[in-house]
Amino acid sequence: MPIVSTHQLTRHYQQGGLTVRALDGVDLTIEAGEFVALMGASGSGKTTLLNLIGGLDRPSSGTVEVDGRMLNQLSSGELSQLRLDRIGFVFQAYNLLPVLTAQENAEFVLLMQGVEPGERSRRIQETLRNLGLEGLGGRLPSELSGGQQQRVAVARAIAGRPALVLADEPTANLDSHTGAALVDSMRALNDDEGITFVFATHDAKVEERAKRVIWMEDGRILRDERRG
Amino acid sequence: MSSVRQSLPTLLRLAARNLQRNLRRTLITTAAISLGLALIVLSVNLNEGGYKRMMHSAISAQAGHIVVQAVGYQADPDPLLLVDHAAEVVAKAEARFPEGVVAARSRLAGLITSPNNAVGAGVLAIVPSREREITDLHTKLTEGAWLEDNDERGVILGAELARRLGVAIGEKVVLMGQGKTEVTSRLLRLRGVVRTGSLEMDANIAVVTLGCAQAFLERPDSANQISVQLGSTDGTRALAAALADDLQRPDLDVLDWEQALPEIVEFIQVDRTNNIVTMSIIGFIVAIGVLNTILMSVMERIREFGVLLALGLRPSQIASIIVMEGVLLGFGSSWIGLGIGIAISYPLVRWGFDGAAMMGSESMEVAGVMLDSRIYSAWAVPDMIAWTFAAWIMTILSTLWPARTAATLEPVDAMRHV
Repeated sequence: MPIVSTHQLTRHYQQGGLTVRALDGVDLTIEAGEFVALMGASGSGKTTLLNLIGGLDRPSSGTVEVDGRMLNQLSSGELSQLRLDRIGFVFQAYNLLPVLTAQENAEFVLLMQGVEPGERSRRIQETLRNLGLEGLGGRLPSELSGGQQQRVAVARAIAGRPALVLADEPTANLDSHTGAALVDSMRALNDDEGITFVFATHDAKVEERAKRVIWMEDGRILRDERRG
Repeated sequence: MSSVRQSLPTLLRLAARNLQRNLRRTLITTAAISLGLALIVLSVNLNEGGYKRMMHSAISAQAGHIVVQAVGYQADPDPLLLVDHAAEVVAKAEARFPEGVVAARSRLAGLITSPNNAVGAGVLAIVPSREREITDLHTKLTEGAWLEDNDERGVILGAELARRLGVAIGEKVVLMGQGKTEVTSRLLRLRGVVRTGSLEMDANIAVVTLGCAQAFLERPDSANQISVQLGSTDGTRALAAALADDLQRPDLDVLDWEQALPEIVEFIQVDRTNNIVTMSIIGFIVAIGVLNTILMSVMERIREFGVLLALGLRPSQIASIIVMEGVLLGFGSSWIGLGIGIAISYPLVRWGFDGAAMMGSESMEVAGVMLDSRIYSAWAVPDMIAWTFAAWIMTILSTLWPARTAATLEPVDAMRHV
């Protein structure tokens, strides 16, 4: 069953009087449980595609369907609810809430979802343990290393049990060892819990671990390769 | 499903942490709101003290909590519009208000002449022993002695009036004025001199006994006003109505102090309104400052709001975080401001301060009422509470625009914001 489906997805921007085609008629289907790497040079449309799939941006034309729901038919509130319940995000710059501790950051989505305290605590402890963050829950983001912060961001993204995690250059700010460990953690979550991951990345380590690699250029899909 | 009820504690915690994040800015904003409110509290208490002094002074010297006077005297205070059978009215008033002080008074206008000069004067006719219980005029005596109740030939003069007339204690003056049917005169002897601190009053006032005025007007057992002094201004309208029932005198008006002193009531109302406008302007200026600070803090966090939108927060929840910051900031600041306001008002309520240097005299006249130079504040509890809530609400209102700004952000634009 497809978790993501786009049809003739297009996103144009006006820049200095010129029309920039950031995404140009992309047709893409991603099945539940896939581990997908969107590869390509800067400006190839990876992040734009990720933003449109996540409902963070609206297409110029075409449609996006996520978890069986057409995003262009959803109100702003419904879109927010879909993001809260079904989609997790991991960003290049971690983007943790600086005033919350690591545990509170990871717990944030669960609190907003209204998960009961007991269940919340159990899930957070388990998630932090799985990501190697035991003992760091009480620290503020400013007290964590880049790798630790990105793990907390992953914890936040998956704690709410999303169907889909969208990760935009998650390893770009990490050293190669830390980046590889992080991707391994995410791959393990994909294998064990069936969470679908879609990465926008330049990172060869992500490519190596991906089950499917999609190369993009000038807003179009150049090549779509499934791996064993 | 996320619900507002479920998300509120989390958003509130986030709002509180956001305030802690830039503690210096939060403290500066708190100080601005608190000090603004403290000044307003100080001001309303000072005003309340002034109004109370003014009411007390006007009620005791000019009217009473309840006043009995001839029909028409309120509109035209003609000295010949008298309450006849004044003693009976006094007796009934005393029976109705055994804990009050009932005093009969008359007011004459005339010319006082001495061998040296002739000066116009306002003559107050009183029962001296009763007046001592109501006003502090007797304490202003600088020479001579206070009048006895049965002294129908004695007069107390204001210091400046006595100086202009060139008379000393024991010397004679003549009061000339409109009598019962024609201009009449009466020989008086100076018993004492008062100095009230007001040059105008000291140059104008002459005090005689009520018996003297009755003889002058050839109207025994009469007075312009029967004044009833009570412990409080509360419920005087109903008490006046009860006394009117007791008296059963259609030739008399029985007024409470608000009816007897409409110009004082009006002055206080106008002054209150002016003060509300002035203080609202101060509040508005503070609110603009708060708005600027909160707007600045929102602009600094646009990227963060983009992240929250990406995580699934609704625009209304983003807005509510900012409004909650205003709720917390306003709550803390307004109660701190109220506390500071009470603390700085307390010495003025308890001990007052001598405003003689500011006023340039020991007393001053406001709306026709003599006020002592010692200035006291009084607790204006309803006003203090109202302004405290107003400060809180103004702080919350000043978050609405920044909140709306944050709520209209597009996630992708917000996340690109640097």
